[in-house]
Amino acid sequence: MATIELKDIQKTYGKTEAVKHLNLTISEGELFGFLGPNGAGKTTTIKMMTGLLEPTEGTVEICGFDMWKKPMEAKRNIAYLPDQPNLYPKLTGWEFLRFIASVYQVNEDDFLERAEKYLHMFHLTDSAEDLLESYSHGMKQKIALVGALVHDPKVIFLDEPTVGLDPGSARKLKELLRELCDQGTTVFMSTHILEIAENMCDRVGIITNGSLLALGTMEELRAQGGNDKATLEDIFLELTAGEDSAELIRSLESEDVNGK
Amino acid sequence: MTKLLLQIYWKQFKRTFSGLRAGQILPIVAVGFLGLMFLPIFILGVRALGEILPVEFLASLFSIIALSAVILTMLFAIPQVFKHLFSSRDVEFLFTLPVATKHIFWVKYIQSFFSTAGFVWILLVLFFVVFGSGANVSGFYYVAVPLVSLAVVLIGLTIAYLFNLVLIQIIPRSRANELMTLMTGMAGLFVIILFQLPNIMGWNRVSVGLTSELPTLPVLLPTTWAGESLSLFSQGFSFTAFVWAISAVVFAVIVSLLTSTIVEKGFRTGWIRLSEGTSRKKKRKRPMKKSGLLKHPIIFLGMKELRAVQRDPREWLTFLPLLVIMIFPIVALMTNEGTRQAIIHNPLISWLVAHAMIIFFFTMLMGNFSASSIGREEKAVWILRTLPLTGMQIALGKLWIHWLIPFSFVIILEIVLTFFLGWAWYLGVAGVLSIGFISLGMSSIGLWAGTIGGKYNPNNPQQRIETGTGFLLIFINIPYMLLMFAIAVLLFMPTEFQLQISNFSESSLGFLSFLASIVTGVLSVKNLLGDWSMLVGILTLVIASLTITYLFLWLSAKRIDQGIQITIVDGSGGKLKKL
Repeated sequence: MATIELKDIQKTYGKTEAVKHLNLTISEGELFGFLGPNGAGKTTTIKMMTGLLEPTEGTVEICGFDMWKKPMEAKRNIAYLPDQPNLYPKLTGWEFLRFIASVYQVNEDDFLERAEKYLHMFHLTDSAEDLLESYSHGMKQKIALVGALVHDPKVIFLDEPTVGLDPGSARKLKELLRELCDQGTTVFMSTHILEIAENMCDRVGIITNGSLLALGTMEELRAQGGNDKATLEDIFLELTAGEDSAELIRSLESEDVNGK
Repeated sequence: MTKLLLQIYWKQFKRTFSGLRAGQILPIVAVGFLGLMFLPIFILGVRALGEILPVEFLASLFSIIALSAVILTMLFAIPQVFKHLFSSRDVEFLFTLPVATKHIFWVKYIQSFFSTAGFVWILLVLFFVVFGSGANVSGFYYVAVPLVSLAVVLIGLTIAYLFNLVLIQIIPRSRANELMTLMTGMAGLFVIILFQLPNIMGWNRVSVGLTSELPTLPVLLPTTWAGESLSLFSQGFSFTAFVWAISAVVFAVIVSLLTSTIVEKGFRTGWIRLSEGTSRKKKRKRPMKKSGLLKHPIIFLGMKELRAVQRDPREWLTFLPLLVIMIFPIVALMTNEGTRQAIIHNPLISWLVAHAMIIFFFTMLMGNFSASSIGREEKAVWILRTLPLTGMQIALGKLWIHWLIPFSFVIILEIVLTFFLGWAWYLGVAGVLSIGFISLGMSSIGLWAGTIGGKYNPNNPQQRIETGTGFLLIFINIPYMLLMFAIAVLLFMPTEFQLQISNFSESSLGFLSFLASIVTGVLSVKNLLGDWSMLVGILTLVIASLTITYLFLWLSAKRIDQGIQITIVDGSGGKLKKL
């Protein structure tokens, strides 16, 4: 069953097309990696899916609800973690979590159980009563993540979630995301770290200049590129580096093969 | 190196200015226009003062003016200097370059002069020159004025620098930021008091004895030297005048140089201290609050706003204009024996006066306070946009708390006034209910203003709406206030006053005449309604305020659903829009 469905979405700013007629279907329990160079349209796409930006054309459906026609129903199913976790500076960590739980009307016991579990997991238990303004970037990222998980969403959108996290927390996040997906949660994640996408994601989409250039599992991408030993990095660079750079990469690879 | 840095700053300034949008230029033009409008009044007033003031009192007056200029420069410059030295984004970068701290300091000093102190200098020179033209002074006076004024202003600026360099060593960063915002407010308050001082002291009655009330300042103050020198130069050249002038200038130069010698300690170490923060307190393991926590989203939205207001003293600066405006009419009413007796001995009059004032102050306050709730979201606005909350829920969540906070003050005020002014209990209750309904509409109008012109300036967190939107808010609030005023007249003013007020309306001019004509009209309606006027008044008050409240709440909700834009002022003076 499709939990995220993008139908021909487009976003333009004046004459600039940030996202060009994107079609995408993500299934329940899928961990989807969204890759692309800087300015490719990743964050714009995620913002359109989370109700932060309205598409110029096309529709976004979350769990069968159109994000712009039935926003409340769609938003009840999602959680979003932005790349810059700007939170309420004058709330404590606990107050922030309580606020989120109140909005989603989470049962009191479920809230406490989840909040304590995730706060402990990300080593935030001791700082939960501190004001968010005193948190470091990584801590803000983690408390925002706990806020995203506390209402047990069906779909989670993460924009560069590992940026700012310490290696331990980054590993825990990766394990947690995999676990959540195995339990049926859908995760849509943008990242620059290709290794994460290659090892964790069920499918990967590569976007550049607002267009989706490749989509599929790692095997499917390798098959499309005609190289069954290619890494995601090879595929990514081949697709996004431009003709000249791609030529250079190919020549370097062939030199490498001949050299061997 | 200083020259190179100054060139960079100049380029940045030019580009910031040339990149301004029409909406940003408009307030600057409006302020300039207002300044030009007041300039002739200022010139005529100061010139007239120059014509009538006896020569022997010039030294005292000039010394007071010079001291006021030093205080004014200090109050305006202290927050600016803090911003330039410690909050400016480029300081971190500059400290990594092989540039001597002294050079950075002097560039910042010059920057501060042109952004604040220079303005005071121009005003001071203008004052002295216009005054001199009225007093028909010697030509030497005009030569001395720019130099002596510059010395005075530089003393103020240098004290502002010293204050910052010392302050940063003793108070924590968060408190420093809050103190600076408070300083900005204090500067505004000082300016108002400075301009109102002649009224309070009775100096407008010049013939009665202005000169006898002018205090003589201590001769040890360099501002007294400046005053003495200009006073003597006004009568021609004298060696004593020259010595006083040179003393003031030399003093300004010496304190500036002395300040620059403590730069290494004050500036660099102060900045490091601010960047690092104070040593972390050892964490106490606190028990987490777990029970009775989850509330309705609208209640929690309000609680979130309450925490933000409660935990940042700068938020309370919204109330500062109210205090400023309140002080003067209260002082004016209570210093006049006749009005004071009338107010104390006639509860109905005191009730009417008090409520007219409360409604007026609330017009100033409520709208701005609730409007600030939108800008307060700043970069965290994404949270509300991605949560399953309707625009109406968000608007209601913000409205109830921004109405309740000032209203709770009114309840306390009503209790105190009822007790002290001997009002009947039902008058107190009627006051609370009337203000409650009226202020609800004002809060709602303010909230809507916030959704159309929300703004966030990290350096001035109390600046939460665009200037144009602020004017719009006043324009919408005034008819609403007049409507409520008419209803209040219908409810509480005896019809016996109709003839007197009608006569007053015909004999007076402008806004007062307009108000009096409204009162006359409403009283004639009250005559027609007879005993029904009370019921009609109450129903009109409730229906009008609730209709306005709902209308603007609905408009706010619609704007929130469409996506609000908050102008975020970044540190470099540029602006960016954030959805």
